Amino acid sequence: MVFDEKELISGCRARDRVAQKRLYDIYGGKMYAISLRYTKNSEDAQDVLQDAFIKVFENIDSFRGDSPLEFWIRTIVVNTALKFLKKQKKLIGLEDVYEPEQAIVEHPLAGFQWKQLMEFIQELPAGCQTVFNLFAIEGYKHQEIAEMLNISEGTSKSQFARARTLLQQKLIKEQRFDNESVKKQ
Amino acid sequence: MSQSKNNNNNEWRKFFEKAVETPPPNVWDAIEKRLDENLKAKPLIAPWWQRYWLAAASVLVVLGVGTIILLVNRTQSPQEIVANLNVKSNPVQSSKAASNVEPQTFAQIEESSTGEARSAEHNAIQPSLTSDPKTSVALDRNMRSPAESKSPNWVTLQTFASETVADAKKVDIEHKSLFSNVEWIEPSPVQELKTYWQRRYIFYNPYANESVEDDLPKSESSTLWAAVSFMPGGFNPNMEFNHQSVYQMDHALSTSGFTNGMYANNRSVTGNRDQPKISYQASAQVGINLSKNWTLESGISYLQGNSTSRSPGFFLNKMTQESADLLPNALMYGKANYSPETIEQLQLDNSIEGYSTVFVPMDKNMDNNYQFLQVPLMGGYTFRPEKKFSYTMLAGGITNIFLTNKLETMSGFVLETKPENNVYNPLGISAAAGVRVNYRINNAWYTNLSANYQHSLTDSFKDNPFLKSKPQVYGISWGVRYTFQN
Repeated sequence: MVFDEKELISGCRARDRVAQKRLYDIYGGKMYAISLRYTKNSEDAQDVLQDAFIKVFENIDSFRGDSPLEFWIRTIVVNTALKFLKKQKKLIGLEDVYEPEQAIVEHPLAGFQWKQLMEFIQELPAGCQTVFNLFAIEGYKHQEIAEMLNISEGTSKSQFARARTLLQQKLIKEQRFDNESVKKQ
Repeated sequence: MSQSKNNNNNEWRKFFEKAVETPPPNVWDAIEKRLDENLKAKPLIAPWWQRYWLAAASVLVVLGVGTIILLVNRTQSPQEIVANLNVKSNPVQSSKAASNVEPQTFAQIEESSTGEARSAEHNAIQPSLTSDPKTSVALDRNMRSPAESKSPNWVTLQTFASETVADAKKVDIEHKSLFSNVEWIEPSPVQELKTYWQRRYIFYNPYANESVEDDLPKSESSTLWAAVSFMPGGFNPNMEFNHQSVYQMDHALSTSGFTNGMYANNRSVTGNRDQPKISYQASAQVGINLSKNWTLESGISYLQGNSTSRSPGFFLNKMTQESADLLPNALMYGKANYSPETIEQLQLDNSIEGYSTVFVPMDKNMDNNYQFLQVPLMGGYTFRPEKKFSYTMLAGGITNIFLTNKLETMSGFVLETKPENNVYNPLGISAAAGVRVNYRINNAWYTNLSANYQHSLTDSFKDNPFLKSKPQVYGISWGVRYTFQN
């Protein structure tokens, strides 16, 4: 899809509805996928997406062009999702979780659809889900995550370790199920 | 992070980089609706250059209309008119000067000046054209902007009005022709007024609210707190008798020397012969958090240290059967300053010659109770300070201020020693250590349980040749703490 980003931005700054709809059509799908990753269901994801794009359109004048537009919108979506979770009180009382030290064999993700992986992530406990998204997918450091979520760095690490363990268990279980299904056939 | 973990994260990232899910149509409808609501709420504000331009234009219009009103309302001769026009300072005043002028007088003047009949249009002076300034304002509202009112006559009239004619007699009749060219300015209907759309750019931080709302963990550095605590525990005076000194004391008391050879050897008579009893300490503390983990604490405590001390024996006057316990006797040596009555109570009367005293080695338990004021200075290191349960290691020193000592003999006599008796050092230093478990009730209140141990570094006795004492205190205290919020 070819589009002139500058023209799109200036149209949005002029509060041109056509330009705003175009922006939403271009980035809405990706941002909705991000919202789904942070929430537990599609209704919550839609609320997050809606709030995020309102913020994008209202604050488009402050976009300086230092980074790609998609990256700027993505940051707004992630912050909106975190705010949503805090409002829902899903992130209160995050504490260290004990995860015994063991060598986890990282299960390859090949063979899985991203929607399947999305469901696995949505099934994680809220704290693990958020920390996993921020660390493994968004690429934040544990120190940054600790500041964003008002937890300690140790808690962030332990929550991530727990998420990783749970996801690996799901991946193994799902792979095993697929193999058995194939065998039966 | 290990390479494999990093690779796994990259794998997850790649999976979701291209993830796209079409949102339902109602999401955009909701966004559009909110955008429309936000747009209605925002007022249109003119940019500064248009606002000031309009203000300048309004001023010019007012001046111009005021001038017209002056000219319209004049009834005097051209010379008088000119004279009136010279009064520039206050258009209201000028117009008031012509307030008595009937509107139609202007037409008459024109007739007289030009000799020509004016058209009905020129005679149709609006009834509202009076010298009243309010009318000028009413006219002004209906005026087009000066840019649109480019009638040369208007300009000419203004020029005429602004010229200062010093001598009214010198008015040139030629100027009369100006009046004939004056066009009445018709007010524009409201619909023709131009409206202007302005665009306003607002620059602000879109995440300002979030940064305010997102409460970063408050640093507790330099946070003051106050606490009270109570500690039941044990107190041990740790008294030791010096054997040689006991010998000397015995020799001083008796005339026959030792009778039983108890002290023939050089062994110390007593080791630790004290037994602790239930004691307690009540404290008020203040502290400051130097950093997230380090604290400095001080305060004041009252210590009631109760114990049982064992006197190793007593001296017995064989004649009178009077006895004198060793321990209380020992207190009276050195620089002790007891009253004569007290000394008489405790020492044997050796005035009877020929009769000797014997030392009877028999343990005699005596209640030995102390009272101190303590001023601690402790440093602490807290583990897990941000958690509900945290642990603090404490170490430091305590200054002990001696208050009283009560030594109760088996016979019931209580020897009370105070600082003025010069038996005990008024001040002593102890080393202290402890472990405290803190429970955070809320941001301001804590409760804690701590195990404490103190050991005196200095001898409690002042220049006593027979006795040494380095008390120990230990116990478990419970306290509450209040943190002052910055």
